[in-house]
Amino acid sequence: MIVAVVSSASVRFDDGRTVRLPELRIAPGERVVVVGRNGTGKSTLLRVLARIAVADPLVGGTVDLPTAAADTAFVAARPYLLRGTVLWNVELPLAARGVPRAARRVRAMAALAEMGAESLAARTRVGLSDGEVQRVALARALVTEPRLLLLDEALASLDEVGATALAAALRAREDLAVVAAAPAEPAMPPGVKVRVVRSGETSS
Amino acid sequence: MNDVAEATGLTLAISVASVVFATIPALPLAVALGLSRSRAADVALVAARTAMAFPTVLAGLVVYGMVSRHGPLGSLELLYTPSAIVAGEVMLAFPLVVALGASAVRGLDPRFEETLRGLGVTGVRRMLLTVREAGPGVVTAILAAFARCVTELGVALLVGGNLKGSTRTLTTAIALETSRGDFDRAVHLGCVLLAVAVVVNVLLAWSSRGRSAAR
Repeated sequence: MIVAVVSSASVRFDDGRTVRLPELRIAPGERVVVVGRNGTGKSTLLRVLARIAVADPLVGGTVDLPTAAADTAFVAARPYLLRGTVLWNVELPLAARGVPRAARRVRAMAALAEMGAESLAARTRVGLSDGEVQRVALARALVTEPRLLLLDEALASLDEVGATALAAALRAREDLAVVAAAPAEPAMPPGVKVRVVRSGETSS
Repeated sequence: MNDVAEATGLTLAISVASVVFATIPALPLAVALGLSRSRAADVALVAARTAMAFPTVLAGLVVYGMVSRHGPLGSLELLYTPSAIVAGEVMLAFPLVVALGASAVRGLDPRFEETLRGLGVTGVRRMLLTVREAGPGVVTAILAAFARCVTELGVALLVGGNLKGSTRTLTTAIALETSRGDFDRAVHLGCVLLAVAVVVNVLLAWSSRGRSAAR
């Protein structure tokens, strides 16, 4: 059982640069940290794995994603919350998956509580700190119980409460595969065992 | 005085119908063009922006050609009916909702679209959420279209026929009273028309105030 495979694939950027993606073979429950300087394709790798890369930037190689799109979750470096309450934002991916309203509310509150953000439920994005937005975005990603979680420098603005909550959430999900990008270690909260992969050999 | 109320009511009813019929197809198109970064979408948007300045009298002429006795829709006997005015005003409102609506969507944070993808939101839900996110801008687009329909004369004059109680709108009534030499009544009607425009613009200002408050 494999969650995702990236094999000798490269991506092409708008400016024509081509960057080789690291070789990846991700098993359930594995925690992978992709480390590399800016512009070495870390974010692009995550966007390819999350299937949100806008154009198809892949040149050569293969990216195999046996995990269903509905079982994949992505958290951006600077997550975006939609207009509306925090709770409504966290319910959104459940609504998109056809979860009934009552169950949505319960699961969204539980996910917010897990990230220590239940007190934010009735707030809107107005006036939230970066760390609070990050915690809400993590709750929004975890609420669907994904099998593959992609974190694009998610720790960058996460406060200590958030980092501790994330570590606990990952410990509680043994089968959840995580790929996190970071400019340098650490990309994961302390106490989470990770495999480090380096990105950034330029292939042309 | 009763005549004024009648003309005002007809003007509002015809304009509301026109905006509703224009918005139903225009809004999904505005979202599609707003979210797309393709060349075709850019070209379509330029076309819609150009069509915002479509002369009202030309819209009236097009409808006249369609519904007059020898036109392709002549057998429906729509000439000099409110429906004929609505048909023409839909042509005026449609490009406004498309162009201004798409601009509102393009003005959204670029992360919005990526967030929808990341959350697995697709199809109709994606469309509705985009309208919701761009809400105040969309309201502005619809109100602008409404204002254009309320104040236009070309369509109502050409295909309305200025029939009292049926197609006599505020603008055609003003044209009539002026040509009859009853300047006082024309000015009176003009004030009512202005009042309607003021109400619409107050709503417009209120909706754009909501936009900054929702950030």
